[in-house]
Amino acid sequence: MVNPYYVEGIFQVANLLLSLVALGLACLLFFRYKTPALRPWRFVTVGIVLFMAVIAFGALRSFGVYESPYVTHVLTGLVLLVLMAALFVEIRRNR
Amino acid sequence: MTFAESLGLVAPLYNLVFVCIVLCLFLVLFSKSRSRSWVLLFVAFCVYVFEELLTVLRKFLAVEIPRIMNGVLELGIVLLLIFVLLSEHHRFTQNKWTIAKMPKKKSVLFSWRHVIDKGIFVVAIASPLMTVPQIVMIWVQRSAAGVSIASWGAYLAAALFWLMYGFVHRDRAIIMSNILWVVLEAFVIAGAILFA
Repeated sequence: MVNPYYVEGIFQVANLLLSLVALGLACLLFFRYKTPALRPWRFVTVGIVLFMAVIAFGALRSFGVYESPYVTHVLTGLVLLVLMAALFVEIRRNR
Repeated sequence: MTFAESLGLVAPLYNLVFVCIVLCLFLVLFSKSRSRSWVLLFVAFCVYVFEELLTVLRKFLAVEIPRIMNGVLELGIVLLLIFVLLSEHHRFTQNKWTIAKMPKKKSVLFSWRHVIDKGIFVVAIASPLMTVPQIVMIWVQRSAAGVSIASWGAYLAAALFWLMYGFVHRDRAIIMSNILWVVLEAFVIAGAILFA
């Protein structure tokens, strides 16, 4: 039987590559259209970068290369903080 | 107990508080406006919370949940993020995200072009799935004999480039096909590296 950690790790590597594509799209969005309507999406882009880091650490853990007891939790917290900031900005924009 | 260990213990608790705050903020936002992109972002957030919930259940209550679930859910989140960003692009360009930019002809009962336009979606999904037997062979037999990492690495690089091309030209068939290729080729390469 294949180690389920490996399968999870491969999915995470694939997800990492796809999130690179998402990051490229986000950057394209900002460079092409410079409008205040995109301000909250800047925070979402930072969130994508942090989410990529979460996936990368997850992949390293799955393959048994590196494991940290707190990094993924802290990064998850940062993703949520950035999402909060994006929502604040969007709510203010809609006021 | 070290600082890192104590942080690891406390982090899930304050993350739970953050999740509640984000949920409230989404509700406030949806009471004012309900744009499609933010609704999709909310769905991605819900999937993320569900994934964290699975991790907590597995860790603290020792519930048997297949580990592959996390990878699949993360894949869902990433695809939703890509879709949200494409929606934003669409909102600014106001162009229709069509199969290809071709002038519309007058409607006829049967057209070969229409059949090919629809049929390409079946091919776009079916052809990457043909790699599944190769993946099963590598991972079940735990042997990557005859599998070249260089070739599959080149295929993966090409699929990523095709994916970018699909996004730039807004071709759904190319995007769907190459997302599948990237995931499946990652499985083949990882298997080739592990069981070489």
